[in-house]
Amino acid sequence: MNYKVVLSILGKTMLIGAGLLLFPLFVGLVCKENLIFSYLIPIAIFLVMGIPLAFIKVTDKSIYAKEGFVIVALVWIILSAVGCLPFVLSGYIPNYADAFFETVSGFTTTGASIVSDIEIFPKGLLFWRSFTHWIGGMGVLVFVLAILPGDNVGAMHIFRAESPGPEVSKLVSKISFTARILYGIYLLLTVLEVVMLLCGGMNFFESLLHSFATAGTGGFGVKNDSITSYNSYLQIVIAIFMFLFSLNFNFFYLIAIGQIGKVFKSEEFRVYTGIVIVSTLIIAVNIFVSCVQVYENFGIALKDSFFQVVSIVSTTGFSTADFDKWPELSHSILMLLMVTGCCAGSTGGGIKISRVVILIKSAFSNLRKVVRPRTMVCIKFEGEPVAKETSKNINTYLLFWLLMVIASVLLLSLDPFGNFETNFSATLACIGNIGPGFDLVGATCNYSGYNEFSKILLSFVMLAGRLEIFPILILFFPHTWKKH
Amino acid sequence: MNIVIVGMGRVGLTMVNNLSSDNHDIVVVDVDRSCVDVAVNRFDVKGVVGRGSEREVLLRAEVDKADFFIASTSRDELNIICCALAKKLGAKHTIARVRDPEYFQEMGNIRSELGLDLVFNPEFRTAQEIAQILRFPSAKSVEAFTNKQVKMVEFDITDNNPMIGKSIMDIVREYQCKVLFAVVKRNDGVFIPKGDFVINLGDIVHIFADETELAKFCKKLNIFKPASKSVFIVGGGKIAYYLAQTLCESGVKVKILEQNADRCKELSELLPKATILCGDGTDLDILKEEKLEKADACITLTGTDEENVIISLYAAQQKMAKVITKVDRHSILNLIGQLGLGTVLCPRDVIANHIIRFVKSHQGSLSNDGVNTYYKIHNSVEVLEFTITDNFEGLSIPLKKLKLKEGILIAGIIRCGEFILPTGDTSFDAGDNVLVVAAEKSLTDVSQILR
Repeated sequence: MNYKVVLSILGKTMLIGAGLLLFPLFVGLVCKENLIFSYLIPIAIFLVMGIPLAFIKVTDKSIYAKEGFVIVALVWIILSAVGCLPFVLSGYIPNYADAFFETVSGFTTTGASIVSDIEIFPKGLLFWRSFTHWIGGMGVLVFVLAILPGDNVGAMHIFRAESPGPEVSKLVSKISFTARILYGIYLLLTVLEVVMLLCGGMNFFESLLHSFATAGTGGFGVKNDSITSYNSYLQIVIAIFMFLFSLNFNFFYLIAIGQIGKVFKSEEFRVYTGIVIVSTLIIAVNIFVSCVQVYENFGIALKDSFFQVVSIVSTTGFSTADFDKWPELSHSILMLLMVTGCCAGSTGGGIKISRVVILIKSAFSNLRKVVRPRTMVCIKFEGEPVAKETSKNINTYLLFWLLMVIASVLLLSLDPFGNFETNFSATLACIGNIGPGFDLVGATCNYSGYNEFSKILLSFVMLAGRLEIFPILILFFPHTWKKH
Repeated sequence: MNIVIVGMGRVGLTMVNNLSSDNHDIVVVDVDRSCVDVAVNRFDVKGVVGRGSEREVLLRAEVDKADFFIASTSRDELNIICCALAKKLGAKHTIARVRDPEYFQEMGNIRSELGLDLVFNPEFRTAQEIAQILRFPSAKSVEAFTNKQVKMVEFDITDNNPMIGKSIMDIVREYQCKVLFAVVKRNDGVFIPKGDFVINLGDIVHIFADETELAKFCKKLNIFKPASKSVFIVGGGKIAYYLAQTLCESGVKVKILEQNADRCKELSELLPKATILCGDGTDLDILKEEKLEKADACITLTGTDEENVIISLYAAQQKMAKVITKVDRHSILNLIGQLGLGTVLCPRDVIANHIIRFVKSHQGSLSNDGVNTYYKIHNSVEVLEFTITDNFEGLSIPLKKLKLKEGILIAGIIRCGEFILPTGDTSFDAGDNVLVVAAEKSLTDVSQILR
């Protein structure tokens, strides 16, 4: 393990963390809130830790897969651990475990909250809470790579460890340029959403915060009832953008360079859109038929159903209706969507459509082999044969994902707060970075009922979900920390 | 520059290594996913898995925007087809590796029809390099510039070299020779020496000079060896064939010792002037019987690095005038550096240098002040030859008044075919060829030497 290079990158990221905290400080100053020290203290901590580390003289700049994983995991943990201090210091979330949960939930773009009344929060804190979604959505280290100059030997390992999906590829040959393109697309779409929301009559501050939350597929709102109280136009705009941000960012790059045809040919795009359309229709009919008193016409049912499906499948977690009260069929479909998640290479979470497709294909090909042992089958995805290594990695990933869910549900049941449905859906909502679960952690409730142990546990589950498990698991391997 | 490289074998990887440090945008293509992964993980390049002869694969690698397209797979035909296709798709310059001697010979005639801008042959290049050293065996390596008279030569400072303990200023004054000390490697450091730099035992120095001046200098130092008249080659592969061909043409006596009887027969048909021997090169009896020690030079070119090193060690023990060893594995180069074997060549370094020279010399071609010649020494210092044009800012300003960047040395000026050692009063004229030594910079244009 190359400690020097790890610490040096950690230091540089902390300086960026300090820079990021200037934004809520600025918002606080503009809104004349008397909370300057709540931001200045964490900024000072970042600087005091970051400056000496950033100027470590690194002789051996080589980063291998192990260093990549460790850097990513540590950066995310440290950013959350210090980034939660504004909540604690301002006294709005006095308990450290609560604030840590809230911040991890922000950075991992989960959107699970322990706050019962968000409307009393000062604007600076609300901004920081949603801003963490925006940073976490595309990734802090991708940002670092975008601004880091020149020769990044092994930077690909960092990029791969932070970006979601079974296979991470560059858009262009230079990694820093790839990172810049990704952030460029991200910024552009966010600005577009802000403008569209402004057109719908939402004020600038709220449009900005909702755009942050949508862009990162996070789900923190500024109202206690999420998006419910906004008009239909705003709800539809948010739903459409949730869908856009849950697509693979390669698609936008392809559109930008004029190869839109390739997007529609993409298997992942087709399957994902198919899933969204079919689920929307089934749920719309289901709620229209069974909740006659709520939905007088089919249009509203369709709108609510579309919003909720996109919100869950993109792992954002906004809500326009209390879907906990929806019939069992809709429940089950939403629960399944929580598991699949969205496209690889998006800002969303979950297992990812491409993994699910490859898994199902390989399962069926194996089944065929059982019947006819001599058949040779080639599994193809996006018209390309899937490498053995890739499909093996996916199997390993899924196994660890399952183990993680089981362990988390077992550990949560030590807590007297939740029943099985609550614990199970809370785990799924956290590992998939969705936010609201069902029953006691449903759309209108929150996670504050859990005890501190469960909150820290769920925080790590969220981190594991966002970073796709391996970086977090690797931290607990003694072998990782050996010098040789 | 956008560069696409097809084929991630040893040569391909070496090229990626050398080119990626120069801030080029590189895309690598290979059929084997693991080969692509190695390149992508180690260097800042984009990888595409697929056959380089497929249009769709090439388009994914953005060949249409490529300034250079290099095909370096193991198959000649594939390389040629890839390049032809890439040219059709819009690649500006195409470079193909062609190793087969028959194909390579014909390439001169049909190169342009096939859309190839450069055909490179690692074996042929290596043979040329060896032939050049054999013409001036006193040095460890010899590189030429546009004017063939001017050379950059490399020396190991061994025991009883009279230069040890003297500063460069003193050496130049004492021997009255027009030579320039450009680069000195000591332990792991590489220096561009000033006048007060003292030469030590074990240094490796690079010197610039005219051919005749060099010979004079070496004679005064007592390290002069005349050009090799008889050469003993162990191993009869492609390099040996090309080398023997060149040497025979210039009247050098050549003996080739090869193990495989069929190959011997083939060689004897191809090289009527050379003596072809059939036998195992590691068998010392054969070497004694054939009087290896009586030859001026021994060159080991078998397919196994270890055999080459062992035979060379034996030859060095016999106090042979010149020993040249070929190794394929890069890692061995550093290990045998201390063995005192003299010249050790690695074909893929030779070829990577050759390609980079081509890339460098074509990238500035728009402004016409591009690089004519390019060498990289000890992997850190660059040697470049530029032609000065009318629009160069520093025309007719004496060197001592010219504000040069840190780490830049003007190593020589070639004016009207004559090598001029630069002093403080020398100035540049339009049409001069100037030799520049630069520490860790990527110069593409002569104006970049100025601050």
